[in-house]
Amino acid sequence: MKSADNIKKFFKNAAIDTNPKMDKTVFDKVLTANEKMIETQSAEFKPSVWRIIMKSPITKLAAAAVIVIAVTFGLHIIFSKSVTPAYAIEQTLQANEDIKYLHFKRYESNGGFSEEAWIQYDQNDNIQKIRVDMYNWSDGRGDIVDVWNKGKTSVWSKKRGRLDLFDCNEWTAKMLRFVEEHDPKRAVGHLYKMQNEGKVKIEIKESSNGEPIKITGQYLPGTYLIGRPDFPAYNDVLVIDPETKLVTQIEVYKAGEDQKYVCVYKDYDYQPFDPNIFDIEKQVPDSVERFDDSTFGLEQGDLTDNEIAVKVVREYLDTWINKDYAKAGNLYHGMSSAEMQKMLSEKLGNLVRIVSMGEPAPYSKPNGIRVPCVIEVEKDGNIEQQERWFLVNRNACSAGRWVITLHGRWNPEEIGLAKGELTENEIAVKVVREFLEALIANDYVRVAQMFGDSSVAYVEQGWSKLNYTQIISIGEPNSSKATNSICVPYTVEIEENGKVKQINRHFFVNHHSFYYDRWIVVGGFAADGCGGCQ
Amino acid sequence: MIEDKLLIWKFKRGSKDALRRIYEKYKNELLKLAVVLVNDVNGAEDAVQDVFVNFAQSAEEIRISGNLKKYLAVCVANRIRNRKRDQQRHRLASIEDADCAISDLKRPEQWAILSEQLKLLSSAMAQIPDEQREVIALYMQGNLTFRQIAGIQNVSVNTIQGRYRYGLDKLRSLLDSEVEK
Repeated sequence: MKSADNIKKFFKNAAIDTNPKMDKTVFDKVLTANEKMIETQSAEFKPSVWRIIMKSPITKLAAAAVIVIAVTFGLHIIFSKSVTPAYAIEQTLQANEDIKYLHFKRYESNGGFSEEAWIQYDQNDNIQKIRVDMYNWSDGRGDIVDVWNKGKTSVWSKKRGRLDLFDCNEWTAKMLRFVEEHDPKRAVGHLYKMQNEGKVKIEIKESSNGEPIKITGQYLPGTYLIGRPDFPAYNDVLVIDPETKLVTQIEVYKAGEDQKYVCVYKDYDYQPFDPNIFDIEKQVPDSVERFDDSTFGLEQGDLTDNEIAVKVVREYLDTWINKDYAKAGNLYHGMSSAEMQKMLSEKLGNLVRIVSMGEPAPYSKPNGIRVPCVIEVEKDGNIEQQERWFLVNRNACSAGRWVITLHGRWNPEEIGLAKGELTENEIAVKVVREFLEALIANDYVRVAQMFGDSSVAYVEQGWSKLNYTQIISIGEPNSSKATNSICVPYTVEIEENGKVKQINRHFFVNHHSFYYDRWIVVGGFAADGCGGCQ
Repeated sequence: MIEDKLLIWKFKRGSKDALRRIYEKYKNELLKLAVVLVNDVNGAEDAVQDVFVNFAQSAEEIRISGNLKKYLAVCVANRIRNRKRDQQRHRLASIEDADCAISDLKRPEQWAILSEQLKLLSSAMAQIPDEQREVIALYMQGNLTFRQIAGIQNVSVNTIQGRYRYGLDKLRSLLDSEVEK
């Protein structure tokens, strides 16, 4: 066959007829549905009209007029009350086409308001600008404002007093990913696409009595967020207005037996808003430090990856020795001068000299080139020789430049304990037991490893004074909201001035701030059981 | 077209004759569309019947400015898509449920009478992917434009044209020996 015309002809000639008896049967059903609807809607008018007619013959004429009015009015009511036809997602996709502005909020499962977003589209339906305000981030970063404007992203971290400027695909992808999941205009399209790819199951609950339509999307593990194959199975419930077919709310649940409620996106507003909301420069005070991500680190030039990694580390160590915290921050992926001073001088101590630098080597988990070295550090009047490693990476937004992304004393696999399949309470108890056993054995290397990134000298100085001799018991762990960690009470036997006695203490346990699967002791030690945990 | 507008206007004002005329005018077209979309006469009949019942109940929803045939064609396509979703959901149903499903299939009489050519077309259409089949059916039988189908499937017009081309190629090869006759 040579053209589509022949197929068209085939369609045209493929005849169909109907059985007259069934024709009538089907139409009777259609008619009955029509009559039933009219009957239901007009039923409420009948009694009052009838009473007027029956009351007095004199009012018959007036009553007749009333009937005409009532019937007309009744028909108006009948035909103005619509019955929603079968809903299909495409209707919402179509309704979304006219949206040019969007504003919505996110509420957490505890009812707290945590995020707010504004999105503007251009005439061709492309996302033009995005602003996301994140309130009181629990990781201590406080309020953050992200603004994306045609490829350029500005991130204002209010608590840290800094404004970061990014002009790269990675940030664009992050911002668009946010929109794809949470802006209903994209979320519905995403759901539809995922359904077509067989990655999500959809259930539609049709509207009845004006109740909203509900679409439940059940995502398979690893499909909820783009680029996150490790993400668990999630369920979304999209609440649709039966009249406008627009999304009014998106509820997010963790899949599984308990269907744990995660958060809800609501208060959707599709009306135009003040365009100045995207002009973040006008809103950020002058006192806020500006950082351009493309200037971070060192240019690779003709150096190999290993050579540039060593060069970055050496320059970083030099800035540490010279107390040039601004340059150190630039090499440490754009940390501010004040943050570097706090980390290097106050926490780690003053770098006296570089004893030796080891061979650089590729490293995974986290990725980068790892450069080991031995340095001499002075802290509180004591000089200690330390082995330390630095992880160097290409700057994600400026691939020709290399920055330090992490450094530490211990290898990740040496820090704390791996949580694996254990529950948070189980790993917390295990960490406390291991920590106490290390203390009893005077194994301060292990104590330091169980205590995050601490030096052996530091923990030995602090803990050798307490002579722990035996674990009596480890109590039930409980969640500490104040410290955002798990509190584990314990009772130990100590030897003090030749006398043996029992004391009650507690430790706070949490995951490491970089290696999420490694759990460590982060604090605690107060007397009298776990009273401080509440 | 003008007749359709008049019929809708009358129907919205309660005319049963208008409803009957709309039913008579489009039932065969819609049945044919449904048959090529599902390759299952019973399923096609159910879908078209449901669409007419819903239509009869929703006078206010119908916009006079709209094209009635296209509106009904999209309703049929939506109904069939929802029905497929339900079937997929219930595919893992228990054995007890399966018994019920079989008993539902027993029907006293069939509404649609298919020509041999339509049976052939329907079974060929069943062999091409859902999305391509929907594009071809809505374009050829529903008289929708590529742009309108793009709106329904939420993809670009280019994608729809691609689906149309691929679908048509497959359909052509499946029907090749028949259409030369």
